Amino acid sequence: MALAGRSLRTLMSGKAARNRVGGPSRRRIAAAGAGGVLAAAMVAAAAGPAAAAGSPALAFTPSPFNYGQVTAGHIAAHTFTLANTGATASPVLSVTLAGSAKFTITASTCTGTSLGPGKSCTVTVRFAPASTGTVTTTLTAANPSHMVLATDALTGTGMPVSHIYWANYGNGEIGEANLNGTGVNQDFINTESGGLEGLAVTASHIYWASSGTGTIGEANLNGTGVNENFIKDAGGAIGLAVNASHIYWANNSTGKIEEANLNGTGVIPNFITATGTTDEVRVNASHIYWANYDAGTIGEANLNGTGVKQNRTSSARPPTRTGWR
Amino acid sequence: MALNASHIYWVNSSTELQPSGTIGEANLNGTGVNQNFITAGTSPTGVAVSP
Repeated sequence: MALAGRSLRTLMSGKAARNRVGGPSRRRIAAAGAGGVLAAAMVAAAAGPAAAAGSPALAFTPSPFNYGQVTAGHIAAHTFTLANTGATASPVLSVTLAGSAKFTITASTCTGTSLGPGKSCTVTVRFAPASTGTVTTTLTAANPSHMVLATDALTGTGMPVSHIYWANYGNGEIGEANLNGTGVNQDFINTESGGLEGLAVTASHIYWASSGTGTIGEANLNGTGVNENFIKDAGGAIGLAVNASHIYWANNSTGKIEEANLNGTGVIPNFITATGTTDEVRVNASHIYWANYDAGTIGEANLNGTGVKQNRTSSARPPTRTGWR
Repeated sequence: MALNASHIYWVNSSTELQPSGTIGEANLNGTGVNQNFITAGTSPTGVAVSP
């Protein structure tokens, strides 16, 4: 931040500054500065403006810092530099974190040292999310009296661990494995309904179509919260697709692409009419696609169901079964 | 069939020679084909990959 290297005297000039540094709360003035970099002149400033002129000025770089997206169970580490651009040595330093426990200090050359003018030290902070979500912490350098001399705002986002899932038609089980093929669990979800066809997942849920019950099921991505009747009256549903707002399925019996809200409400049975038998559907950010089994074509429409084109691509053979599964 | 940023996955139904179905995997450029990436049930139908 631009405040690096500026003394407290610069930040608070004249009578106001003299009043502040002489007041009872002077040790807390520097805490939580915007952007995280603070003038490190507090010790000298407490003794008066003349002393503050030759004070240390500490700042972390980079600041602020975002670790980005880290898969839960993995580790990201970054080393931060604490530099003294002031004219005098800093007090003996302590370095701490205040915030999410997913951040830890794994190494520090700053702790217990006095940082001379023009000198720097380093602190390594590890971000190790065990779960999903964005979390923050504040990296702080302080003197022995816990007076804050510099801060750095750190952010990181834990991402879900990717898995592969498959539907076993005959026994109604949904299997799960790690993306490297290990950790196979054939009975991750036992739907007890059989006839599983399509399968789709989001970052939080898994969905399946059951020809045995004529329903679309839903569960949390960790396998809990199984709801076999998430959407009823979905007989003929085979292919499934989901985006951030809707779930779509290809009805093999009616030749329709059907749509519902992602909470299972608002079912539209005749959302899109295919040319005949259809059993697969996909979506991207702007369009929905389906397989016209009899015609041997891929259909396309806008996500609101308009702009239907039944011949987006054509093929000599039916594109389903072996094509999209 | 399912895709992610690096791989493509598909299902192979069981056969007389291979009583269990499998999940196949390959690199997105079509190399590194592994028809037996994961052993599934006898009749795997759908496959999906979480984000």
